[in-house]
Amino acid sequence: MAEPIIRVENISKAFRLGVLGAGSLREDVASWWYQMRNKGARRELASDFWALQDLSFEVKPGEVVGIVGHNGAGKSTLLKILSRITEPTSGRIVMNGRVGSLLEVGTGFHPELTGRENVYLNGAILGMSRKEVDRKFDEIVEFAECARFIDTPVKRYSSGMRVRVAFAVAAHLEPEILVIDEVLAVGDAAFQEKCIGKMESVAEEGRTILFVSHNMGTIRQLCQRAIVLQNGRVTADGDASEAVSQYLQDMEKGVNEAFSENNPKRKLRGKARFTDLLILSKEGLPVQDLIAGETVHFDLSFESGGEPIHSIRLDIWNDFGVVATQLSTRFLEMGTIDQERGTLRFTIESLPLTRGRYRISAVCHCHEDLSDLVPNAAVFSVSGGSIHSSGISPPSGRCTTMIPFTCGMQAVRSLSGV
Amino acid sequence: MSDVSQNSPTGVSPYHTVIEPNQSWWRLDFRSLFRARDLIFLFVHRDFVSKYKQTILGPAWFVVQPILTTGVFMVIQMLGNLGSREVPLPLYNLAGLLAWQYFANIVNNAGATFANNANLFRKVYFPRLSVPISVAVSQLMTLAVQGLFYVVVLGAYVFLTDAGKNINASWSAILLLPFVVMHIALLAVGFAFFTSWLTARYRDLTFLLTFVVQLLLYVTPVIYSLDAVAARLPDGWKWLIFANPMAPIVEFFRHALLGVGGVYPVSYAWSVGLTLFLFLAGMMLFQRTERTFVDSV
Repeated sequence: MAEPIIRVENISKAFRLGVLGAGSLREDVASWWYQMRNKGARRELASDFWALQDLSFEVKPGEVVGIVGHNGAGKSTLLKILSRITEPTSGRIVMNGRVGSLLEVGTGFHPELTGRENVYLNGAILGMSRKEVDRKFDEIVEFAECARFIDTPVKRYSSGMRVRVAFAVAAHLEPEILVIDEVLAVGDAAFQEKCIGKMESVAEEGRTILFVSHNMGTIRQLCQRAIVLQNGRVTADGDASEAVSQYLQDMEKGVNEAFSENNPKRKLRGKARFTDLLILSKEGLPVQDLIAGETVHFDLSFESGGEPIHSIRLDIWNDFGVVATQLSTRFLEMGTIDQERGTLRFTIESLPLTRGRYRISAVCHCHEDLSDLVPNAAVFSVSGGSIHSSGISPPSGRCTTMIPFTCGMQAVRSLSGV
Repeated sequence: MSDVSQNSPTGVSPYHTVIEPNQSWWRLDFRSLFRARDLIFLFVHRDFVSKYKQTILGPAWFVVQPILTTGVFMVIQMLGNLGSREVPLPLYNLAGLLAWQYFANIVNNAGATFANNANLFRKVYFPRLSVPISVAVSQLMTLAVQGLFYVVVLGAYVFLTDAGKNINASWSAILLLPFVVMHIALLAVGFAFFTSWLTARYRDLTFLLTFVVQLLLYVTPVIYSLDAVAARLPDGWKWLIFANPMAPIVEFFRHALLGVGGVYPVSYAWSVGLTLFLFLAGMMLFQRTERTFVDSV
């Protein structure tokens, strides 16, 4: 097997939290003044936050590697170090090839410059020479579908057009190593499809890609291998589908203690809080495995702590890391909930979800402020069924929900008109 | 030169990079800085185009600024009995302003490199030095236009009035001007390195920057001549005015272009030494800041 093109050896990265010199001049002067008065006592406790801890892995030329993890797991920090935006605190990375990194689409675009000028500028910022851009200019313009506007200032572009131009430039960067952060979450669906297609073809040309995404579907589709990060460490590294499944299982593990006050992922900000969430079948029995088209109840218990609750919401997340649908008391104009404690029952008469695994997060707001957010409050799976009488459902890989519709033959209209 | 390297998987790519924590005081990536020359050129282009698009006068603003400043100076000079008796005041002011404005423009535009480009620096890596360098280059264009304007005004005085006979431009000194301009660039960029470091740490100071440059103008012999002020200062304090590294430079400009103002070798040598120190020490701070600056944004 070939030599690794990227070798990451024991990378760690610490961020300073609450240490002298982290803020503005005013804060520094305040700290200094505090020190003077309290004879050297630190104003705040020095605490290092380790975003990455002792990370090691290797990537072979031509591999497409997905990097998966929760928010705050260290994905962005890793990408920033790989793209040389910041340095690690310890450890070392050896990369044997030109690195192109794409952490944002359209970095450095200047609104006053024309599309053409911006293509050159953006290309240069991403590391292309003038000659390279010259060579690929026509391709870029064609990919972005903007030939007519290429000499118009970018400020007159629609935001979609701007994104297309930006991605087109980035897509035609030809580094041996491409580092990409979630940039596919832009543009319309057709263009996203095109971008994924472009990335697939880049991968086929034998270039190495490191790709961060929250969309497990894209990771499964694009990557052969996935690395799972958790709290700055690698917890899984291997075949993409396996790693992604493991990652999702890990997320579900937290369900048992989801309502615990010690749950680090819970955001308990106010007095009002949730105490329990039950998924019940139409007979009122707790279930985990649901059938599409059947009735399901979500029984959500809460304590208001004396605060009037303005909205309670359930987000139903699917395996792709997408909210398939939301159920909120606001949609039904239920107004303020003043009860001290109680149980709200959300009922879906005919469950419209396609086959797959789902996680529910419960969110509650008092006034405009978040009071409680319990991620992964419950999980369930949908193993089959459909809202349609045929029992046929759309493929779950491409479609998150079903909606009722009708379709019927119309009488032939006469062309001569009314 | 072509940048595309189709390296074999086993060979060592010319882009072989090692990323590791670096605590050394001095590490500059000259290789990627050299590769970034297209980028520097495009930054210069961007600055030029974006500044004057959708303005009525366009690049004429390059000369409007010195004209207005000259006017203000003349008022101050008449009130304070400063300036020159030998040459017309507009010429006197324009000559001094050539040198001063180049310095001030660089500091104003590159003096908060990190704070002003935080959004860009957070998202993409390129040699950060290309930003102050591009500023020094694009201000060179401003200087060129203003220089041309100076020649036009000078021509008008020489051919249309008899004031021309007092003007003794020194050709040998004029030949040295390109080096003096380089000197200004190094000094200004070095100064900008320091203020970039400071403003990266304390954003508040960004607001002070233009104000500090304004203040520096008043302690530099632009409005007045070095002689005039040295004569008014008590003996023990004369060195103060010579300690300003821009002072002998502005004087030299007027000496070369108009034949007024002196050449001060000691002061000039001090200025060169200080420039080199500022530039090297500033660059050291700059490259230390650039490596982890984004962590504190």
